[in-house]
Amino acid sequence: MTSDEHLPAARILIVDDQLTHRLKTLHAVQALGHSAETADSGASALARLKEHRFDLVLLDILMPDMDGYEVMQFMQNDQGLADIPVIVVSALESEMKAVVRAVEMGADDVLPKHFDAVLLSARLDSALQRRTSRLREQLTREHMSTLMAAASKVELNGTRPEMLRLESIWSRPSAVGQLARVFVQMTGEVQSRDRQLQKQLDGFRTLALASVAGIVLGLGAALASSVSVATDNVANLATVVSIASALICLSTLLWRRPQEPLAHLLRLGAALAVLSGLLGLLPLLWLSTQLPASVVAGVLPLELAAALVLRTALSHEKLHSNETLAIGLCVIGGICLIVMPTGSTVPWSAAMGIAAVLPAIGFAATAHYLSAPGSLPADASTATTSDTLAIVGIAATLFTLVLLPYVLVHGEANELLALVQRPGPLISATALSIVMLAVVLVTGVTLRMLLAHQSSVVAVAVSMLCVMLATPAWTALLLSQQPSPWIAVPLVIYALAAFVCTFSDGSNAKTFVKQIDLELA
Amino acid sequence: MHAIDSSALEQLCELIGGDRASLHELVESFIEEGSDILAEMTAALPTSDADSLRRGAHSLKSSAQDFGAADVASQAATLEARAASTWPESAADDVAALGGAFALARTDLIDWLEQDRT
Repeated sequence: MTSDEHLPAARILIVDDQLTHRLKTLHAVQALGHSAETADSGASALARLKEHRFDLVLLDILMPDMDGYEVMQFMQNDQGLADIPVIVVSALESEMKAVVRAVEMGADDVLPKHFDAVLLSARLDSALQRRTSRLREQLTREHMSTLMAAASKVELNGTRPEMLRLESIWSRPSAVGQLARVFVQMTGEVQSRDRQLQKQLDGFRTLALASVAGIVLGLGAALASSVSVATDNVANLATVVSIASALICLSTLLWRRPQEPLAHLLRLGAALAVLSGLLGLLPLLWLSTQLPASVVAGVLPLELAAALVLRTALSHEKLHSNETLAIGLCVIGGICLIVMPTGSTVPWSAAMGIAAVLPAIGFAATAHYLSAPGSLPADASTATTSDTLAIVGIAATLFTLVLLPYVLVHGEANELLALVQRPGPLISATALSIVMLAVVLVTGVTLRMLLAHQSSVVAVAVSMLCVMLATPAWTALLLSQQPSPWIAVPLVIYALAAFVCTFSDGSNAKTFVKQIDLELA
Repeated sequence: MHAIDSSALEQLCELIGGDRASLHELVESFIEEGSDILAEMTAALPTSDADSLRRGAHSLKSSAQDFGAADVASQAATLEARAASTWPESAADDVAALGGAFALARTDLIDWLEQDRT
């Protein structure tokens, strides 16, 4: 700072036991544009210094009771007062020893008692400039320390730069402020790229999970057709499948205990029993006795449309144009299934009506799981498989407890037992199919719930597409049934819907990344 | 008006920003405080309190310079020097001389005040 620069007005404390000197100095300091207060003794000065913040002290040395030396000593021992500059006011010719002692004790300057305006202004400006420089240096050191600590945090913990509270530094027009801005910007860019990469990896992992879920669920329709050959009694089938599902889930809990409280798991399990059991499994098994497996599997992609519509209804988000197109394609695919020739003699419209509702029920079960308080941890990766298996197991148990009295009252227990009696060497083919169906249902529902944490429409689309592709393959493998060539039509339409949906989610991801960049900027 | 230098008062007025009312307040303060200091110095004579004598002389010296009272400043400086280490033998005479110089300055300052206010 040059001497030409204008210093801001300072707040100055004048300490002198002589009233006339106090008044003269007070008026002179005020005439220079500063604000000033006075104290008539050392003790009074210390009291003022504790009450208010001063930029400078004009201190008389020779005072009764507490002299200027004691005041300086006290100020130097107090961390909050040590940096306030002190100008000693003294009659130089008779107090040279006193002045020397005061300077040795840390006084910034000396002002004779008989002074003029020019001398007073020069002394004040000089001391205030030195103080400003000292404060700037101190601030720069503090900011550099903060920046170095922030750099260490970023290096060690990968802390996001915007979480380091560096606003007070980067908003300054100084060189350190510029350094902070560059540091935050560069670190932000690097971490933004890391996040994008991580997001892509997460996306691939989600798609892999979705594919597995789809392939497993695709097996479900074929197995359901397989067991429906043994009996057309849906209640019996549902009961044995539920018992098997419950045993599978609950046995896994023997070595992996759930983390969530039991009451919470019971609540979610009860809801799932109603949604996936009563409204999901029963209609699915009934459909399997009425329709070919490939057709049953064919309506499942409608879950994509249900997911989009439900997401829009629950979150009040607007549908993107390509999402609307995907819903339309799904509906067209469903219509193709309804009108395509299969050679079946079942009441087609009623069966397809129920089939069309199934996907919405499946997605509603998942949506309920996500919206239940406490079901979605802040970090989705902490959602454990054991918790999900516990919920599915509880749901299967409750569903069994509801169905079993009905089966026993209607005297169909013998048929129930006949389903699992073994004419074969180890286990009957029907019993094996039932166990496999239970495994498939448990795995499918568990995977779908874990997948739901990703909240990705793309994942649902891929999952459903895999169901469509897997079902004819499983059917051909397990039942030696050749699917109708007409199934290719809805298959292509669904593939198109999945592609459109993928494109839609990609656009959203790009928008999201842009938002992050804007926030960082 | 021989005991004070009125140009010193104008310099003092310039120092405090040119406000005549503040200058008048300062002059009145000097007259009153100077009288008090002299009274304290006189009170210190029977007890030979050199410290009070020296401090009083020191205060009057520096104030008198501001108000152009050269004789007061000179007498006060002499007394301060004499009382610096021991009790001066001429203390009573010195205080009397200082009191005389201050009385003249005081009279001149009161006259100046009346003139300046009109």
